[in-house]
Amino acid sequence: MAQAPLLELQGIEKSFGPQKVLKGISLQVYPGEFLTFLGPSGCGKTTTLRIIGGFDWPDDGRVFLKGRDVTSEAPYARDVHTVFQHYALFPHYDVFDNTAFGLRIQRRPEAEVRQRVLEALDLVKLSGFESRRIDQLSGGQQQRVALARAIVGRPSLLLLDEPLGALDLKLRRQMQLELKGIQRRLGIAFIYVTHDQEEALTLSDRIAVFNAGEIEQLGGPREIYEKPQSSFVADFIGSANILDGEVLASGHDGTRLMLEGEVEVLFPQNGGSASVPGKKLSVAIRPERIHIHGARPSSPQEGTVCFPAKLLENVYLGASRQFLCSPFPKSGKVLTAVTTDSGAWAGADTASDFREVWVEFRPSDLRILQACVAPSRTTDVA
Amino acid sequence: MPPLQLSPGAPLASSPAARSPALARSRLDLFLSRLIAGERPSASHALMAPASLWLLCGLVLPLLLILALSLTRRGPYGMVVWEFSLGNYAKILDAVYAPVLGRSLVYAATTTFLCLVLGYGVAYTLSFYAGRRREMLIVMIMLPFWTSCLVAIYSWIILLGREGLINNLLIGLGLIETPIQFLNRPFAVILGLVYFYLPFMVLPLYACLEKIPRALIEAAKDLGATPRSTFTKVTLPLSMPGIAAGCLLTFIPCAGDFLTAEFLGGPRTYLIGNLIQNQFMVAQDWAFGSAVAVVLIAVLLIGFYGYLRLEGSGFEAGRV
Repeated sequence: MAQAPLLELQGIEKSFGPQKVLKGISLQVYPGEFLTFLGPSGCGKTTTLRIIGGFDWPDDGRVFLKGRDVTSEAPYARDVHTVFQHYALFPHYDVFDNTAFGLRIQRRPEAEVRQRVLEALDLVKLSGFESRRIDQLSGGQQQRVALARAIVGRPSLLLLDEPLGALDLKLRRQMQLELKGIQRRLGIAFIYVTHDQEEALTLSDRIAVFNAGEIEQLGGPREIYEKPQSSFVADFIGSANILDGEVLASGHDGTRLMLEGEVEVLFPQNGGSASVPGKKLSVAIRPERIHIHGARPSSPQEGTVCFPAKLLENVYLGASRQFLCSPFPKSGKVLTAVTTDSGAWAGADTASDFREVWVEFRPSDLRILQACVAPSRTTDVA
Repeated sequence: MPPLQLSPGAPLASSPAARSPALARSRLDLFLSRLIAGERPSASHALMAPASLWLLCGLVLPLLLILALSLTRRGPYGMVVWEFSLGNYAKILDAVYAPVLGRSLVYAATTTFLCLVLGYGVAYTLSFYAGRRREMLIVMIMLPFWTSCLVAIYSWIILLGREGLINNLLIGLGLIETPIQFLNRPFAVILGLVYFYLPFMVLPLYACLEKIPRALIEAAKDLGATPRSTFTKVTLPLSMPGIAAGCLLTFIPCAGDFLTAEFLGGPRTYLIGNLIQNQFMVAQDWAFGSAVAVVLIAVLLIGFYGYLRLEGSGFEAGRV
């Protein structure tokens, strides 16, 4: 993206009392992009959003909007609108007047207000609801009014603070797709805050993964999912098995790793500077990349490793089946695997059916995490 | 008055359905039945019984007695002669007495308005800016309640008298030469009324402003509203229920107040409260005093009914 950034944050820091909630957030948002702030609660994503909206001021760092420094500007002076977590609709106005609020503040002619409000309500599929009172609307409809109210003024940037958090799962899925459609149609850049990784993967052009007041990783959904750079990202986006590894040897055919001090695998990439023999690393593998067999596979597939494990749990999840097994008797580390509920496992419901199982995966599915183990990191900030 | 279901006996156990269908007809009825009986199980009726009995003996029966007294005549030596007469009500229309009622309503309205202007600022500051000092400030607002009102009135006399602190100070500073007449004038009476009734305005206003979700204020600013238009378009409309409650709580007791005018006022600030007190304590005309009291109650009830009508027509916009 060679364009000039729409929004730029430079080294934003913020403390509430003794607690430092933002430790230097820097990022750029480009016109028309859908950027998601993803992270657990308390990671600083909402605070960052409030600083962009002008509701909080950073202790340090600057906010630039279209190249202009707006760090100390009031919210009403910024070309940024917000969809609030609990909608924040005005209870004394009906749907039309709520939507028209921003335009009327700008003293637009009433004919233009009317036309644009009706367009916005049409876009969020609320035509015909103009004169409804807010308390006569369902949660999903209120959500749509909040969205219409925020987009009717055509801001260049829209901030959405967990906008779908209060909706049930089915409605959520539907609204996700609609949101994405509306964003594409209007070409407005969205910054979307959520703690739901699936939502983030569905909607985003880019995802900023927040942890303890810092951005752990910023990238496209595929990049974040497939090349997590830290154990936090690997674990937070989807789920991941994170194993301790040690480099045994490094050569042109790849890196020899010892996992949990018990299983030796050949990782088919040269780990570069990270692969000095004796170096300790964290290694991640996705549950869906691990296969569980009831008996030793007679013909193991090319390029996989296979070793025995003790089955701890075998859970039926409808479309899939989740296994917890312990292939590392010394460390006791538990591996999670997910497969579709079919084949040999169909109908098998309890762990006792398969006490001894075989674990199989491709070493090429392993991910070596950049940050070399810092499991205590997630506990820094509540 | 509508049937209030106040007797502690049989009606308390009756189911809501057994109540007269005429009961819930008018708005006033609805309001009172919501207040007093409601659609609640009989356990809460039992809980209400002591208070109901108290209200019956302490309010309803005396009110009925006043109503009855107002329809009698004064005897030659001040006793009540139990003869039906509308003469007391005719007397109220006299040129002597009618202006007293008018003056009371004007004073009450002026006081209510001043309390609203002063109180809104206080409640707004408390709610939006007071932060951690909030509790302490609320206690300070309630302080006038904790002193005897006679002590407070005498303090005002000491402050405002011809030889009072304020006059002495102004003369001492050379700003005036002869003392200003503060006391026994409308100024002192309204000052006293505002002083006593300001908390009645501030507290409901504060409670109402506290309830306004701060996200609504942020949403208005987010959509481009300056602090001023945020106030006029969001905060003020949403605080309407508090304004209404505060005005009612100030206006009603103000209209019947007599102590303030008794001590701080003079002949030209004679209020309906003073008139009633005089009939009972001085003139020994209980019949006429009762009639004046009934008229005051009737006027206030009509006003209250008007308020409920307004509320019903959506005036109370800020139902959050």
